[in-house]
Amino acid sequence: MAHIKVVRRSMRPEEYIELRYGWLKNSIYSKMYELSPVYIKEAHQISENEYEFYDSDYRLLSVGDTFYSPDGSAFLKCKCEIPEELIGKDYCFYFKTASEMIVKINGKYAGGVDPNRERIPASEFVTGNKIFIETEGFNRSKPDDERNPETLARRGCRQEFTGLFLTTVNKNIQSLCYDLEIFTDIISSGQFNEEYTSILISRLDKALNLIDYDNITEVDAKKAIDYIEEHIYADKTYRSSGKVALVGHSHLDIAYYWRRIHAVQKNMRTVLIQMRLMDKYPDFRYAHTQGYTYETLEKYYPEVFEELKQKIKEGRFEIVGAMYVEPDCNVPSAESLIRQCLYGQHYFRDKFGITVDSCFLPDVFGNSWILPQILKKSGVNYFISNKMSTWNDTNRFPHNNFIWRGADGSEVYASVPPTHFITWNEPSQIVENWEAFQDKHTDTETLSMFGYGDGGSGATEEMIELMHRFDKLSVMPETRHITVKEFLHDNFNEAHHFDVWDGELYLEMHRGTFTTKSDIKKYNRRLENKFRLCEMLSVLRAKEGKIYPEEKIRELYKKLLINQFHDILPGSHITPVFRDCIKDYKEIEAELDSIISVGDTYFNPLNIERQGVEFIEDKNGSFVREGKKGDYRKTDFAPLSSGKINKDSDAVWLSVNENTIETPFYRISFAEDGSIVSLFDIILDREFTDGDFNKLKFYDDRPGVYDAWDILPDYKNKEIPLAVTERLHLVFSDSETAEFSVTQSTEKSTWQRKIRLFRNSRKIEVENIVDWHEIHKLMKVAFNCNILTRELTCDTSAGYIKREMHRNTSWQQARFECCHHKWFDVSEADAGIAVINDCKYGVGVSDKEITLSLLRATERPDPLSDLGAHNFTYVILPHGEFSYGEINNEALIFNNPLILTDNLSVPEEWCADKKLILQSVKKAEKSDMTVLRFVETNGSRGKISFKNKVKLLNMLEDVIEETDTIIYKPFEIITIGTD
Amino acid sequence: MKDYINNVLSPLLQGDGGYIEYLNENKDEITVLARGECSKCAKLEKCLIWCEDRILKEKNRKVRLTAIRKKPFFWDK
Repeated sequence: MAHIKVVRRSMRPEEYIELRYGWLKNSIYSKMYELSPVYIKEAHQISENEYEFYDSDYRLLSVGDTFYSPDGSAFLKCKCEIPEELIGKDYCFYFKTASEMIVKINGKYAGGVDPNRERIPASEFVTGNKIFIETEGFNRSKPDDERNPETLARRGCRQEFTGLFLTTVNKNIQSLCYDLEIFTDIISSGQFNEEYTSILISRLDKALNLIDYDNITEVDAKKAIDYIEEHIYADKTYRSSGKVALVGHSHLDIAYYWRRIHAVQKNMRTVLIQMRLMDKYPDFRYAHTQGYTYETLEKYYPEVFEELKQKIKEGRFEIVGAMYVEPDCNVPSAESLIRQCLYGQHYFRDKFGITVDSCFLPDVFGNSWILPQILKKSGVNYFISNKMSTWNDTNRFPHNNFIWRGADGSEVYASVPPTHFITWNEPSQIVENWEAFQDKHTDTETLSMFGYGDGGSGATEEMIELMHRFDKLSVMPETRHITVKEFLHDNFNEAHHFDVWDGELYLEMHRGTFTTKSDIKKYNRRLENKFRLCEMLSVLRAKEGKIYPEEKIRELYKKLLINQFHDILPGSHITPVFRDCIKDYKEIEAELDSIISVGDTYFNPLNIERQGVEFIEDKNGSFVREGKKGDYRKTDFAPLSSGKINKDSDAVWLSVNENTIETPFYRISFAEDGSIVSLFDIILDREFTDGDFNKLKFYDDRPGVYDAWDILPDYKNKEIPLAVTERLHLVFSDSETAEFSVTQSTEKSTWQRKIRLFRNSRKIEVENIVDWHEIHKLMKVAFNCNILTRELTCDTSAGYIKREMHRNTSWQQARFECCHHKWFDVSEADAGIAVINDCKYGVGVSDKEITLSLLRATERPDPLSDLGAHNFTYVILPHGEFSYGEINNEALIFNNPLILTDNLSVPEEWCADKKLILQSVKKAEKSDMTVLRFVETNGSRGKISFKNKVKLLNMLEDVIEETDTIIYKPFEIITIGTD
Repeated sequence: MKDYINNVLSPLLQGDGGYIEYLNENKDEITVLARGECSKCAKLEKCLIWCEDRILKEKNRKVRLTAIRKKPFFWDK
């Protein structure tokens, strides 16, 4: 007999509860008093708090009118009398809107309305019988939080005006609604004890039966509240376990589906709303990140900033996250991450007298292994990021409260909360958090953040009201509403035993962000190097009496750091954000170039010896490299000094026999598409290829809705053949260089590669000149090496990380695409191959095939992403017994060309240790000291001895001690100060 | 008109994650391609009316805009 499922078609008790909850919500407000006349002025924002107005003056706005425009802002104002019935009462301003509005009442910042909140207490801002409402509004088609169905229904550039109102809140009905929000969540979530839930439904039904729904009154609501107190809250029969710390927070993307200029208001609205909640709820605490957002508040809303300072002083508004913005933590260099801490911390010290001891990056797409050291040396002992627990697509990250050990052995306490950084503080979300908490054995609390986020806005009255009821609910875990600092200091200490995670915090998602928006990555790399140069030359010139352009450099550096925000540098943003970013980069570069200026002496800006072959710009040169004419010449430069550039004597050094080419180093057999069929090393007497090598691979790349963010492992399943439109051929050769060219194409794009072989260098340089017009495609270049190894070694920008190449477990399988910096390498004991790049970060690993990700073509959030011209270069470097430090030196030389400058004399201590890389030289932030930063990149220990005593500094440039000897360990970053 | 739509109006819509592109015109009927957020926006028609108003004000031309929506594959259900 067939099984017939019993389906209940009649209304269930819990559905009837939901229905009555809806009726009660409709009765929260007493009579609505419409405010009129309302006037509007619409605009398009063109800069921070700067607008182009569509009309010269305000116009009348009536209920039913359409307002807002694409990328639009709107200013409303309304001056009228308070209805007599409201005078002396506790009334509020009411406006239901999909937009985000800062509201002033009678000239004072009263709060904000947005898709998540519709009312502001108003009577406290009014003394007479007149009210003057002014709003500053900004409308996004993409709401802050797409999980809010009401918001989704109203999204769009054009909005219907539903009117401004004054009204009073029926407090009992409102309070009952908060109770019902808790109980309906418990009932519908399935997270709670079944017996308890059925008893709850029965008792709730009895409470709600005390109300006459034809005439809902405050008196009846009170009866229901009393019944709930007595029969539901008071009953402690069913008990839960667990300890959950509740922290108010709002995640604010500086740019994403909005531009940086819009984040100024988003931040202001968020801060204002949270401060007004503090006024109403004295116990409410809120945590806010990013020095940059505080800076914009100070600059554009000084009145609110002053109020904020007081709230910070009272310990209610908490600064968290030491960094200047919440940066991407994969692509920025070590020095950039240090500057995030330096500029963030110095701002917080200057303005609030606080050194922040937490790094707070809830939404960042994975975290480099170099970070613990940088944090520890920047006054930060604690790290918080939610992403790995909630977004990993393959493995469950095994810890929530743990110790994170960095590449150099530095350790920080780490919290990866079990649930999302945006929650509504619902009971089910808190229980889910506790259930998912994997470090219960540490006897610590788990962290649950509440508040709307992405575009700011934060906690709501409802979230706080719900929280105030949790203590009465025995089925809830024990909760504490505390600051982040309290959570960290109370839980992370030696009284608890934590497991250690020793490695990078790789996010098993968003693997495309190492590659998306190629131009941004290229500029970022180039400018990181130019900042180093600019600061170093400025220090040297200051020693000769010139002025160090301190303010200018700091201002420009901060602009670079803003653009390292985790939805800018990774490429996950709309078209105008890209345009802003490139505009910023051009401005930064022009300013840096003017500071660097040009002289007539070639200078090696690195503290490493430079003996090889390099491209030297020359208007009469025979080669064109990345748009510039010049020649490849032998160079011989001591560290940080001027040196010689030589042209080798003419001699026959190249043999070309169709596609087989012989140089003093190699016998290479090319395929017509420029891939290398055989790379035989004549000196080492060995073959380096084993399969596709230097071969372009063109894939269909359809990761789905997280288009710009993700590369999925199945990209390999659909490879699309490339046509060869111009076969590999020798273009030109001279006494040093032979340049070959090959062009391949798709239906829409062309891809030229100039392959250069050298007489005096092992490097094989490949310049890519691309006209890219694809959609949902990925171009990689593959290297199958005749190397027996299970490890891929990748540059982290401050040392290296070794990653397994096999696919033995799900952890390696998930790490099929990862982030590297200037180079990767595969080696056996006596030989290997490194690939060095000038702007590429994504590297794919699939057994023995390694691929460098070159370009993507994604559609969301930017339909124009990566379209157009691209020019970038990588180098293939087969080598014998090389140390990783030597490979890193080659990569540094490749990324930091010789410069033409004035005659410079470099102090001796800058070259104190040949094994360490001089990562940065700058003037100290707070003194005239010169700050030198060295990094160990080879994985070695050592000792630096100075002739005179130097100051050992932390990364905030605080003096730790004076010494003439520093003992360092592998991958250590050392900062010293000299007079 | 193509230049105005692609370089003045479209950048505004791009500010909301949208995108329109001039396709063709027949007398005063102009067809645009709507991508990105515009491809699935319930308010697109109202938005196009706003664009028509801008064209009238800025270019002194009364036109009717029609959009062909092209959703990315992951929204095209």
